[in-house]
Amino acid sequence: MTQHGSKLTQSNATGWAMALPAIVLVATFIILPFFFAFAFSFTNQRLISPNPTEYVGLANYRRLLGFRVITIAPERDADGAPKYPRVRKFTRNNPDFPHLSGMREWFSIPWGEEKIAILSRDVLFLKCLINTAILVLAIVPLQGGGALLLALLINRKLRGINLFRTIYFMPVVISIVVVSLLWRFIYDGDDGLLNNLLAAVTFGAFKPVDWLGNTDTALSAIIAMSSWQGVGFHMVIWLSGLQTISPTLYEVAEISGASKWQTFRYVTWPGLRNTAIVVLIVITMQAFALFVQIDVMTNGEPLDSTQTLVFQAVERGYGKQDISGGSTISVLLFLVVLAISIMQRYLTRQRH
Amino acid sequence: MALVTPDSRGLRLAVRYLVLLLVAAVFIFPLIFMVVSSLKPDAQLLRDTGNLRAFLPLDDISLDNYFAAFHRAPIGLFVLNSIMVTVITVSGNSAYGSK
Repeated sequence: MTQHGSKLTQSNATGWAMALPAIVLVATFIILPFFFAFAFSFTNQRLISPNPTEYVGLANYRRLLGFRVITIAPERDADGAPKYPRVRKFTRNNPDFPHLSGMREWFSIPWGEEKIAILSRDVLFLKCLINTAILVLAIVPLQGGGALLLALLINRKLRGINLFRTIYFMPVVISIVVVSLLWRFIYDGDDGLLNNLLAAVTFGAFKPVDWLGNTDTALSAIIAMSSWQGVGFHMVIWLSGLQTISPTLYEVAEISGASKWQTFRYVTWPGLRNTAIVVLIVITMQAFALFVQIDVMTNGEPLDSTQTLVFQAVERGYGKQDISGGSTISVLLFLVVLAISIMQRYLTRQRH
Repeated sequence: MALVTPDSRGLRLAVRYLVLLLVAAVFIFPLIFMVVSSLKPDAQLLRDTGNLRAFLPLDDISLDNYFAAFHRAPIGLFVLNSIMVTVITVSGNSAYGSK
């Protein structure tokens, strides 16, 4: 027994020694910076500053997450028509509402006669949060589902199928920076390829749209372009999953007279279970980390409609040299992604 | 099982290839546009986006843009840098990531 134990420790020591370089690298470049970010988020650290860094507690978090709801009662003018005082009457130099000082209106909704306004200390951060949520909720089904359809399409033994597989995978191979530049040309408002194409197929009825310069279309344009670029990668993962399903199962389905949909529902989909989990989690994390497309194509413009959490973290940390602000966003983003990953693991757990 | 005649099988195959080709167009045309545009001078590139010539290497085609790029920036160094990053990343990852 002791013999066995010492052998195990010996081989463990060798294992640790072999893993050491990797552990050191991961610790230096991933784990340590993360703890730095966590620590900075409780200070007022700046990139370059003559003043010493101070501990500020939860101030950074309070600034990002603090919001207030106020109801504004209408004031009647001479004709009796309701008129609402402007929000800034409450938030600027109003001694009656010291806790609202410096806040800005995020949005407001009518509530009967009154108006409910949501105020926030950092409206931009909340916009980033919403935009990031939209990105993730749109890209995950679009890219994951699209990749599955592509995989089903190319999972056949047809003449020349490898050519199609290669073409569908091509955008993945090209650097995302190059692809983003390319799509800026395609989305161009005056003479972009997309506008010209749409005008051609509608015989000129289509009015040109400045896809990246319009608050209604900019985020969708980035979603479409990101999915186009990333779909091939997940197609390959789906394809590898499809090819692990035993052909005998399909034979059984055919003999039992299963329809195409039934074959997919009861043979293909259950066989893709683990692949689906991988694809879901990977796309979710990629969508949360989306940065280059925005940096190259829109810079968060127009009117902050394409701002995301990662972009804002970099923008604050390096653009505005506010390392603590950027760190705080990073920590919050980490917590969100962690929570969602745990939830996904839980929802997709193996049930017995 | 429906009756499968050679005709309908041929038709289904044709439809399948048509779908494959249409999807392929979505992926390859932007890339063709990129490659073809790299061979054109600026003025012609902008003139051509309005029609199918955007995808065709016509008129004033040359490798001038490539020579200009090498002239303007140390592309050779950039390529070397990229190769170095790739080699180190791939070898490092396969050394530590595999068992």
